[in-house]
Amino acid sequence: MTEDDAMDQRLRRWGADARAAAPPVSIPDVTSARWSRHIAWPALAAALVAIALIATAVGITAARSNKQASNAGHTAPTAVTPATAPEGMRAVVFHGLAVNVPFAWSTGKAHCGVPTENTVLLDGPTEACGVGELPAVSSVSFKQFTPGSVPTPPRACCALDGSTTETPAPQGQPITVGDAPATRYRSEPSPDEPFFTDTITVESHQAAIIVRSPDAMTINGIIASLRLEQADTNGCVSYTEQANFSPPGTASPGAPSGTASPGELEGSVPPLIPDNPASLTVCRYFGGWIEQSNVLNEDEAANLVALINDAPEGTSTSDSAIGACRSPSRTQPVAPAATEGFTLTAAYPDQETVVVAAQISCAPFGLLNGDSTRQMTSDIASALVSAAGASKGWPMNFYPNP
Amino acid sequence: VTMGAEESMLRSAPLASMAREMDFAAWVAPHAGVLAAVAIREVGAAAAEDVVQEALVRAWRRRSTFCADRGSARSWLVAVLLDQARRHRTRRPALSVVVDPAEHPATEIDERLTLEAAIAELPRRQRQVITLHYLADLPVAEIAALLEFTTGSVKSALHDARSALRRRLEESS
Repeated sequence: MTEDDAMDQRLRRWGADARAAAPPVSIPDVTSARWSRHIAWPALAAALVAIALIATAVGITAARSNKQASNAGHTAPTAVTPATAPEGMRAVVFHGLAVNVPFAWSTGKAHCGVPTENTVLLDGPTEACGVGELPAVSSVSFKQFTPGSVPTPPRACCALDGSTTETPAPQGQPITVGDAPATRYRSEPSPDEPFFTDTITVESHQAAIIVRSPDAMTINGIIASLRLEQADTNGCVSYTEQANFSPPGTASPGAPSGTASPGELEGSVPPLIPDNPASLTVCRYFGGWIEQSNVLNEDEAANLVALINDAPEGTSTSDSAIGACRSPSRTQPVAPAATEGFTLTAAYPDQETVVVAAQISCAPFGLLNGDSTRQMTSDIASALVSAAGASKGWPMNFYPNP
Repeated sequence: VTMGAEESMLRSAPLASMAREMDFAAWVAPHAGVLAAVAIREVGAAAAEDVVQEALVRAWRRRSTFCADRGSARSWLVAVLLDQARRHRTRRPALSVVVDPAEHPATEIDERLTLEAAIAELPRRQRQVITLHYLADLPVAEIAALLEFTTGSVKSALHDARSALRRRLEESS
């Protein structure tokens, strides 16, 4: 080795050491109007939000889910800020996970579980059929997440049912979404699957989000907006146990007191929901996590309120049950993880807001406002399902609870 | 809304802006450490952060001028950085490089400080070619394009710089 070669080697080591010892660099928020030539490094770093955090594995700052442990139907809704999105976008929230998508994107536009246009797909039953070719569209799919498997988007060859497309877990990258540990799985386009796919599972929220697009920029933009929200866009809290109430006489803190028995004279008790609410928000929960919601218009609200108030007092049972609910007349509270339910929040200009819990997943079925109950009927269940959106565990027949 | 119109809407929506920022961040990220290391040697540790930030914002604004046929992303970013460093030097004098003793053994620190000091004493052009070749890890051809030299001139400058460094280190020992 010549002297020049020795110096060359020494300089190469110096260069490598210098690169390794370089201080971390925050990539500036290049499109922000707040940027100025002399902005300080720490202040700039604080303004980076999505870019820098995504670059370091999606450490997205966000609000923590609001895990309310309140009794069913007893409390007024906690003041939470509904999820919002920048102009031209809309927020979509599922189990407390939120992303922004272009405002023009539809919801639920799919055939055989395969998106037919740029759309948002929420977990739920899909038609049992197959499609020959995947349309070149972008989609965001939210799914309930079961640890040990990674939900995948439907394939062209076997898009039968969203619930049957799960595969053994591949290697994922550990990340955090807000303060929630998560795992990220990314895939590049292939001849069989000409899409970029980004899947993030968040076990603590029992949810997974799958973003699929032929365009990597679209995925990056959507994933950059991934965050935790305390409530969805209609103000339904992300997590609640209100929708899961226990029958009268059990040890559950949600049990109402002084509940009238079935068959008591109608008209002798106040309505479950006072007439003419200024607004009626229907929130659908599974396992305590928000899945869908809707704010009813005046006519829809009046019809649903009348239907509920006309129902007999007490609770109901059914000739069938779903999931973990095997007993039609259970006497112990069922874990909220297995239950589907609704909250109805009726607001009035001149009186207190009324919150009603409606349970259709596990017996006893019924509606509860904290003071009294109404039996669940097929008509009410059908109305709730159509008011909030697609549902699992329906239809079934209801009977008065003995 | 037809699919074409919707795609067009997507391109012009805030989402597209976010995506472009994301792509820029991803494009810059692999070179950020090199930019910081070069900046420290050009303007000193205290000013390096600001210079890198200014350079990256400038790079974003001038991103349409980047042409992959003319050189790598790293050499283009380094060129923007050097230009920004030159502007900075006209405003403030450079400060010396600081090596964190906690990260290196004493003998290694001595060796590094000696080499750093020797490099810092080189004439500007020799110092730049050493920094660009060994620290930024740029090939001779890209350094030539960046500094508007011929490749022969860069090779010659590198050889002269190594010889000068060897002499200085021998004298100091």
